Amino acid sequence: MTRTTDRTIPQPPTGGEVDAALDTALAALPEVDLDARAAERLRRQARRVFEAEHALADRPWALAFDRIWIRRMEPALLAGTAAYYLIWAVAAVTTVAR
Amino acid sequence: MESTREHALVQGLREGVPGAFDAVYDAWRPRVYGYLARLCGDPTLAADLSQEVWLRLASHAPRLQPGTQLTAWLFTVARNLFRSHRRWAWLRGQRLVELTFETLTHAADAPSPFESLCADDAQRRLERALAGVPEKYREALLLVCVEGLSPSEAATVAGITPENLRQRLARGRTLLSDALTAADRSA
Repeated sequence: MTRTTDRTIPQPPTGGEVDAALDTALAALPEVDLDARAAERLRRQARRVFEAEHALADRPWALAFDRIWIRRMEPALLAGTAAYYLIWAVAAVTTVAR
Repeated sequence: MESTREHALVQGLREGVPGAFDAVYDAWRPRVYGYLARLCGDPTLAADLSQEVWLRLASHAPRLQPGTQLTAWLFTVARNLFRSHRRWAWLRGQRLVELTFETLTHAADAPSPFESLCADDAQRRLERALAGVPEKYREALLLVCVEGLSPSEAATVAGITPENLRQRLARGRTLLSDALTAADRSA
């Protein structure tokens, strides 16, 4: 048995039609952007970083040094400082306890 | 065509071609900022996070893989930064900018920061209703419907399966439609 629909009577929109209308409306929302001055400031800042990174990438020894510094030296310095103060705190507590 | 252009831009970024970064910045900046602004509901926070996204791209440019999809890369970084910020804000006990169910009623009354840009009342109502949709559904709507990412790209950005994303999208559409209907009734 087939169901017939009288096309002269307005039919409520189907789920698919509602979704399509919503998608169209969402796609038509206005584009929002950063303030022009802030955008230009950010462009200059990011471009400087971009150029610096590539300058570093062109000098393998500088890149290697940078990586060693970031991955080895900085954590070692941090751990050393933390260990120094920890030992100092333990010694202070021991002295006070005596 | 679009993908060829994207590959050429990625190549330019990897090689440090001066115009490549500007081209990427001009093409994607409004999209990334718009996504962040509508996701967090705070233009100032969106500007800060947006800045971080572009600085990350600038510093990672020489190490990008040749087949990197810029759209997915940028939106993933933006999303991760937002989530990270929210986690830290929560740990610090600050008020979350995210619109939760609790604040929905207030959000519906207050104008969103983007409403002044809307051409007509329908768009204003849509912005307001969208701001009231819970974050995970709003995110799916923003990525697919507003920014035009494919469902698979959006799923990669959101870190979920495409099937899961489709479910979020369907739920998001329903919630948005309900919010618009409720707004119509109250008007």
